Amino acid sequence: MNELALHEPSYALEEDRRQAVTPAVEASDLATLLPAIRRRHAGRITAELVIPARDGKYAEFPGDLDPRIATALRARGVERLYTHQRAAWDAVRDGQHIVVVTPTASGKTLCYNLPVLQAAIAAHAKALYLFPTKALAQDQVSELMELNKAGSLGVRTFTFDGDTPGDARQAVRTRGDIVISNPDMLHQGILPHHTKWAQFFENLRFVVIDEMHTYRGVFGSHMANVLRRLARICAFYRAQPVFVFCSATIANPAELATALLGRPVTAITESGAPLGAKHLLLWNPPVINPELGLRASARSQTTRIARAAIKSGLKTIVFANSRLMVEVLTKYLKDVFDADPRQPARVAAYRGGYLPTERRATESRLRQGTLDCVVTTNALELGVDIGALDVCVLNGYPGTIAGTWQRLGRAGRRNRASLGVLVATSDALDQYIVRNPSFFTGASPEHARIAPDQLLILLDHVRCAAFELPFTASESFGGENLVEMLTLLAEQGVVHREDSGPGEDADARWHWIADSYPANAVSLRSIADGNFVVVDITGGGHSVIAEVDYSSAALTLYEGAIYLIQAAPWQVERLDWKGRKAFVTKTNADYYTDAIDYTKLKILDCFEHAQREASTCTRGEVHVVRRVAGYKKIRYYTHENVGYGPVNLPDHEMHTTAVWWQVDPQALDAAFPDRWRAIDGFLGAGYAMHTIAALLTMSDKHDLGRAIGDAEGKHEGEWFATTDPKRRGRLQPAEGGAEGDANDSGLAREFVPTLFLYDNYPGGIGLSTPLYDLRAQVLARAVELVGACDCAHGCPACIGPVLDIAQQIDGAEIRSPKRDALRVLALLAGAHA
Amino acid sequence: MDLRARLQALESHLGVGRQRVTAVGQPATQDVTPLVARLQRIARVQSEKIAKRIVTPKEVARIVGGETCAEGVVLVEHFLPLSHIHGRVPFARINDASLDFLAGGVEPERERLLFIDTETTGLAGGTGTVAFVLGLARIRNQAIECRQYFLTAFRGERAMLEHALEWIAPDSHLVSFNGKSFDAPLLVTRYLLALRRNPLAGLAHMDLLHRTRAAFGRNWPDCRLQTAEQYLLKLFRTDDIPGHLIPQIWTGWLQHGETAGLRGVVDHNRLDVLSLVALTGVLGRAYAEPGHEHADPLGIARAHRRAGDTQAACRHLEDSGMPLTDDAQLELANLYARAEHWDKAVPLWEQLARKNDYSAMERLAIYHEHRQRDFDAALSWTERMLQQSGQEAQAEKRRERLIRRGAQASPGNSAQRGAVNPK
Repeated sequence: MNELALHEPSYALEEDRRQAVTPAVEASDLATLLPAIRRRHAGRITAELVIPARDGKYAEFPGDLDPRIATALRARGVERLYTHQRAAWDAVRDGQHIVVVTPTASGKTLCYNLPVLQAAIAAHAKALYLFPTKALAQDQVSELMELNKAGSLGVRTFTFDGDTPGDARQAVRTRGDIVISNPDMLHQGILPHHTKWAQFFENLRFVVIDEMHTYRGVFGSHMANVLRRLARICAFYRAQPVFVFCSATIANPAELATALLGRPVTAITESGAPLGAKHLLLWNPPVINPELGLRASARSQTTRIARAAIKSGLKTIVFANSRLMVEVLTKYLKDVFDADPRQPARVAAYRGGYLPTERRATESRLRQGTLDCVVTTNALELGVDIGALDVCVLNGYPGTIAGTWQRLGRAGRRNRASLGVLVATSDALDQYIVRNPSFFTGASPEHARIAPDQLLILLDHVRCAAFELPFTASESFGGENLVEMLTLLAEQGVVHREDSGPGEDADARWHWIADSYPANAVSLRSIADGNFVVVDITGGGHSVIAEVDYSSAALTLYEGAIYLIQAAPWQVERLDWKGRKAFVTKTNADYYTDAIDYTKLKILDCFEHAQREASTCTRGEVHVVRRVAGYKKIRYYTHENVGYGPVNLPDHEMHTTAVWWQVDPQALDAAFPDRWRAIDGFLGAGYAMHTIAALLTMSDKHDLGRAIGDAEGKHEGEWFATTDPKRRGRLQPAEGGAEGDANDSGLAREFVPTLFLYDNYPGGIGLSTPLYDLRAQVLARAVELVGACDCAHGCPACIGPVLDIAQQIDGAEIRSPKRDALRVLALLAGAHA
Repeated sequence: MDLRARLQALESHLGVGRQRVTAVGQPATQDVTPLVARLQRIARVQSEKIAKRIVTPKEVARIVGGETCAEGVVLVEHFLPLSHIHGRVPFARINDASLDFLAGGVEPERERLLFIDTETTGLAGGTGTVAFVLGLARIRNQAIECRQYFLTAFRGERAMLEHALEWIAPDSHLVSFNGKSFDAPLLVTRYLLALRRNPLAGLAHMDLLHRTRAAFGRNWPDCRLQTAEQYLLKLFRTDDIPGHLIPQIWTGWLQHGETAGLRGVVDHNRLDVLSLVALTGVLGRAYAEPGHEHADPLGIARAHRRAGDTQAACRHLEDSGMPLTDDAQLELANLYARAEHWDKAVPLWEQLARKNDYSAMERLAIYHEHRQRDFDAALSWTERMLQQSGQEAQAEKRRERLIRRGAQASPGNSAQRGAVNPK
């Protein structure tokens, strides 16, 4: 990433003209398009980056490479290897576990396919490939089959997943040289039945884990435990496979791989693959309402850019973040380019949910170059070979920098100049990203973290592991005391301890005795498998129309709630809390509902503490109670409150870890005319910090919780702040009394507002430590985010939605929530207000 | 503050129907907080201290009616003469009956048969399910020898599996009830885990469940072994332990030293194994002798046909002495056709076709088109097929072809059929 430079637009043009590697014919279209875009839309381009073309760095085939594999490679047009492929070969042959981190289309798969094929031919060695999704697995099979065919290697590759028919499974287990599966299948289908795979495990020499960067947070923590279980099974069959991880660019690939595997992993990060020159435009739609900071939709901009590109004769790929958006964008583009039904279509959509045959047909048209534009979700992010494309437009930030690079890698695959455009939506994170090109020029800011010893996750996998093989006292599993965990499971009656000697732990064995299959009760994608399904019972029907995860169910599925699916309203008629079902009917309501909830945090323990000039930052353990007390009905457009309803649901409680910030009371009093304003400031600052914290810890926004409350002295937990539908701060007394505002008498005594960002999983998933370590960055970047926003007094892109400014006038002074938020941030960051 | 408390607090948010945690933990004061305490803070943990009654190995062996044969294993042995009558069926029936069909075409030596049934910790399958009773029976010297292994502890499993190898020979022919999908794979898993070898690999295996279902399933409420006992052996168990209680009886023994029910489990397993012997004789005859025990002639005929024995299939339908259903008649007609007995097949088809049997009409259409080359007749059957709903597309295709062929054979007809250009 270091060669990447930030240029002024005019200079970049020069740079483009000087690109010798870029074939003239190809470049001309781009060379016409780019200046035209720049001329017309200068105000929308927040930055232009140019990644200069780079020559490939090559290495010869290894001397001991089986000649049949060399033949196969030559037949596929590969005459030599890239240096990173050779480095991977050497390290793997040396028995090292590796993680390969190179850009999209750098021939990553050969890094593992070569040693795997070699060992399969020479020693009948077996390999297990794990991909996070089934679709990626399918693409691997076809690639391996082509190599196999080209060299008549006789290596058998099979997928093993939920779609593998029962009668084919036996063949996969006994005859497969390379078995391609996914973590969920390994967890539920393979490990608990490992004896059926005895032959496979006895000869298992390689485990390949692609898309490693997706294994972070909860999923990654589960994955690390699945790999611990895999290690036990391998040890049972006396196999010692080499692990090959592949990852998109993140800040800490070796650290993540090591954490997943529990053993040292060597990182290979120098790509030897050649690269065509790549232009990247960061694009912000124009502001159409400066007061509210409202911008034109990303959709309209994306369509415009794609239209221009297609008209210039450039092959274009458009990425959207939802299936619905794919359809909308496809329609807009088809209206322009496919108006004549007699002509073959120039624009196609490609996403999950389409039939495989349809998808294969689109892929093949892309490869042949008979399609001018494809609109897709992340389904085309990787793997699938779709040939060379010139322009890649991202409708909205994909959520991670790593994912952004993967998508951008889709254009310019084959050594020619290409253009990528990232079009920001009004989302705060999008806005922040397009204003900070340094995210794309510097080292990756994204740290992927896991917490494999998270107690609930760990205990789930100790159960699964006990089912697979009895535990002995001399074993260990994760960082906790195994005997203690097993003792608990024995008391729960799922394992049975048996001593061969008189009660010495050393000789004890724990056997699974429950009549159950524990892996089926553990979902790798969540901590509690408690998703709610939304069932449409309109007209006596019964069809599942949506799924809502546990943590947001209470906020969205209470009885009386208007549940929106693609902006169409459904009313919740009945909520079956235990059965995890919400029954809804279609409605025409002209209002939506907003839960009145409050979150109360109690500080239990402080682990770390840092003092600044006028503020403190602390990491520790907290008890969180979230209660939904009722809901409001709010009319569309006018935002009038047109009614209330009660909600009677159990409290959502958990212990977790958090980072919290407090401002010195005197400094706070000096900075704000009243407490009202201070609370508004904290609410806005919290919103911005939450956005930044999610970015830096590479988590989703809902992985972190946010709360503003009182947490000092004997009055701890007296009140918590929320924003009301008029976007003004409201205070909730913690014990559920009447609502009040900040000048109520109860607050007269002490006033230490506290801003909490907490790990939103019971027990925590390890997010609070990196958050605490990055506290200075969180504040600095939050200041940047709010300060650089084009809105006047606050908007969803910086401090959260605010009300029309006319209603913010407070006497003579305009109350600017944005200014208040910046004041709080300045206090927290330590400078004088 | 312990692990339990941590878990409790954690799971209160997950828990379906779990109670709210009211007590909030205090900050830890000890240096090392026990795991259970830490868990309790984040989740609701239920557990109980286990009190275990000590029972001597000798006493357990006595209770289940056997002898300790290795540490953790009790061996229960029984010998019953072949003249013994099980329910109303003598074991000796197995010698009278022909078993070649059940055994896959070759009459098996009776001494090679190994009857097998297990009792397990559950039905979940996979590596975490244990067979704690292994019941085997074989025929020697005009008697049934029955051996049951009962595990009193996990550590006995290896010895049990090794000991059982005395009876599991490379030429053993397993006989079980649903053992192909349950008992055998489970035992293979146990052998692989304990001994790293699989003595069951490649053994012949008669699974009586499938044969019972084909021959009797249509007339019974279900096809459990105990149902077969009642209908075919007239064996009605008294004081039998219901199967679903068996796992918990054994875990109760392991965890608490609870011995009640152990004897019942072993007796239950022995009845299962012995019923296999008696059932094999009855089923052998049902598949050899038409009408035996009022077995369903259609099910039996189909089984024979699939095994390639058209003659036996015909015989069971012709000689069952029972009225044949339409399905059975169609099967018989098709069997005749297969043997090219058209004189028998065609009238049967016609009889069925009069009752609007679609398949029979189709057969007739095929017969007239390809065998008789009577396109008019074929066409008329095809048109009748078309009046039936469901598979129009295929019939339509046939109709078009017939009209074409009919027209070629006798152009005069085409005008009257109307639809098609002679080309």
